Amino acid sequence: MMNTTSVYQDAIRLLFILVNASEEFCDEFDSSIKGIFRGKARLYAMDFWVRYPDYFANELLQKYLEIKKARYLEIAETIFEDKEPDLRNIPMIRYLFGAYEKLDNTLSILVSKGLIKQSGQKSNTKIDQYDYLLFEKAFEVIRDATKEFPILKWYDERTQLISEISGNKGGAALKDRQYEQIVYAKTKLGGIIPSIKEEVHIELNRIKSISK
Amino acid sequence: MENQLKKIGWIDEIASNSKCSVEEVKSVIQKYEIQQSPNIGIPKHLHIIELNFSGIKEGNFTNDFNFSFENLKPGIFGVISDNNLRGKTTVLEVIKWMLRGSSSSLMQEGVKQWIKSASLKFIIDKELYLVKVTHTQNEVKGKLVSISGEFENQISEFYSNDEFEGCMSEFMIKQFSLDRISAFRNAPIQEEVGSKVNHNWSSLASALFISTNYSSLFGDIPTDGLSNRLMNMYLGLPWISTYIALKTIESQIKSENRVEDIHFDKELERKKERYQEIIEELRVKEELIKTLPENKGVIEKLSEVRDRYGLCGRQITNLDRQLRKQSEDFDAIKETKDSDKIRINNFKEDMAAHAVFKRLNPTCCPHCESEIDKEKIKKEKSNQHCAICDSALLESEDAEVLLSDLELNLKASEKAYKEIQIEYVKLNNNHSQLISSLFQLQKQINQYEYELNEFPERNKVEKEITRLLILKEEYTVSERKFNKPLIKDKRIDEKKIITKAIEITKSRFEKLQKELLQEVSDEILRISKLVGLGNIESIQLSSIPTLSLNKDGSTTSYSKVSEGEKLRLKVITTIALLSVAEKRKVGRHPGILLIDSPGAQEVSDKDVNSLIEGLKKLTTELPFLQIIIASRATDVILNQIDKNHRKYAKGNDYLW
Repeated sequence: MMNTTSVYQDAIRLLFILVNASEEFCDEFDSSIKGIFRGKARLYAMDFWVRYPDYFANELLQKYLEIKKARYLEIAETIFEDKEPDLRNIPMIRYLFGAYEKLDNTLSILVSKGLIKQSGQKSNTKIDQYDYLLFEKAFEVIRDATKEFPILKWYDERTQLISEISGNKGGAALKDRQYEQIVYAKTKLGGIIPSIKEEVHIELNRIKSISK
Repeated sequence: MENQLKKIGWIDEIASNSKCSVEEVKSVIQKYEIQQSPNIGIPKHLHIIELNFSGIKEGNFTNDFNFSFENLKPGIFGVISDNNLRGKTTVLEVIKWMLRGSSSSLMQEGVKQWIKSASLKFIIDKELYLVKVTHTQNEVKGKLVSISGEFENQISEFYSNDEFEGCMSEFMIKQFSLDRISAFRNAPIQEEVGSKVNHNWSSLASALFISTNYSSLFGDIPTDGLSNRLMNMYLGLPWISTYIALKTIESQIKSENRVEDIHFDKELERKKERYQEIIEELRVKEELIKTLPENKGVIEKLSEVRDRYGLCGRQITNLDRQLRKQSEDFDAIKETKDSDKIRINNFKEDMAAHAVFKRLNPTCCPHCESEIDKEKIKKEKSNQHCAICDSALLESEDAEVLLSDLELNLKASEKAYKEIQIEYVKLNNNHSQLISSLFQLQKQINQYEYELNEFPERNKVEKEITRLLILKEEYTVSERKFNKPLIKDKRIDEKKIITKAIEITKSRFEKLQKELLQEVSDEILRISKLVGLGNIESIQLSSIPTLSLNKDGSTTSYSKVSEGEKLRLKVITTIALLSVAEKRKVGRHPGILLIDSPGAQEVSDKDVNSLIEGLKKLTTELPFLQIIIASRATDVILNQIDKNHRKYAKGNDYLW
């Protein structure tokens, strides 16, 4: 079954990403702004990892191999134990340089509800980079919603982890990393990006066996 | 009765006596090319009237020579010299060469090369014939003609030695109603069948020439029973050539049967020996196998395990089929269950997100970001229309009911999943167990095969025993298998037909033969007195032919008397045969005799003189008889042979 999500689901998912991967920010003209999320491409890249747990598990394994942090291996294992690649996958279309989905409508909900404000670095008349300014209310909504609706806790934890794994990497760097995997999966342009769970599972078992 | 039998044809009589059909008899007669020869021989006489030969000598003498002996006629003639090696034998050998068409082995090859041309004129019953040859490079060319007045009628031309021999053979055989004499010569090795040989005129003519070898009473070829056959032929008996042919075939069949028997006996003996060897080998191997460990149990176990392996393989195949089918069901149910889970998750997430965002009033237009004033918010709550776009805000559905439905669905799919999982796991376990069993059975098979290979010696001996048992069966000599094939088994009993044919053929000339032999015997006894053999009291010539004598009160035979007596008996036997033939008008001998060197070897001058004196008288009694003697000169010879009847080389002279 193709997993399809409602616009509010998408909105709350993006809000978790924006909040948990934001930096502290003070706007001298608006004291209610508390954080900033830098880069639309970065948002898209992080959203891809939320929607494709198998690709994210693969990234965790690569990270584990890089820095040997056992937690990453354990989380990758848990992703498969919880069958996330089957149950949590929200398909995306492959576009020229990676995963893409027009998120403007979803973001407009967050804007309308007074949670974020889009900003941009302009050169001449073209906006080179989108940033998202986060109002204090966005942080409160996430905190309260996680407490009130345990079902949303998964988004909170996953987006924090994605933020941790992404580190200081900008949107372009993250997309490049994902692009390698997507090309590896031989996805046609315009086609749904397929699962790579089998390959990642094999890689997980291989790494587990050599890590014992 | 006898008269009645005689009226039956030869073939009918053979068929009757052999109890075979006429067709069968005919087939045998045709198969062996047997000709019927019912005619008696009617005497014809040959005498030479002129001999010529010429050429050039080589070696010590190189002179030309041109020998001529003319005006010959019936009577006694001599080729005489005071000393030996003066050419006497050559003169007789040239006559033989011309009469036979081939020279005899007594003619010196070197001397023959000197002769460049030769001719012989002779008369057969008043008909004059001339044979004339030229001789170069050891080949002859020439012709045979009959002469009538001044005319020559050519009978044949010849251009080689073979053709010359063929020409004279055919001519003489026809003239004297003779037939080629066949004989069967045994092979030098007893395991081989002998061969049939045909004696033509050259052999038949041996009865005309008396050389210095007196071992045979008739002719000078002791082999192949030729002496017997020549005498019977020259006696003029009817059916004799048929009889000779039949005897030859009888010998041939006997030889074939004998050789067949020899081979059969040898084969039988070989088989018996081999059988004994096989029995002994078998005994040894059977003793040996008792000492080797038994492998029968392993073979049975291996067979049983292989059966179980096959059964297990079939069960796995069936289970594979079931598992494939269940795997499809299992996947479908799993997908349903996962879908149900996703639906619930989405529902809950959506409800939560909805709740979160519903509580938040719009603060600005998402498009232009201009602030929404409090009035619009108030209005939205009162009339349930969106403060931004004025669209009607619908009440949410009964979430609890929807969630309950979704959870019921998930419960059902999870239950179905669990059930099929249990079944799937069960089948999978069965499959694993069967695979494990198959593996174990394969291990057992390997083990038993290994164990069997550990008995190579026993296997080898078992195979050897099997082989020997087959050989034993093959070499078992049973009565039925090793009885000699009966002649009865053959389609036609050839041996029986030939035996009866011989009896019947013999009966057709036996009486006449007996009479003639008796008359010839009486004539020999009479003539013997003329040639100085007065001490012989009785003589009996048999058909073999043997000559039994009563001499000086004791019995003896031709082979036991002295050389001088042999010479005279040999000559007078032929003359007696001619004499009887003349009286009875039955015979085939041409009536010419060439006697070479009667005084050679151990024959004394006295014996020769007696012979010559007797022959002189006999030529008077038998006016057709022509005798040409080559001899060293003695007084008796010179007295008995007229000057114009002889060629005489006096002192050291040569005849040519």
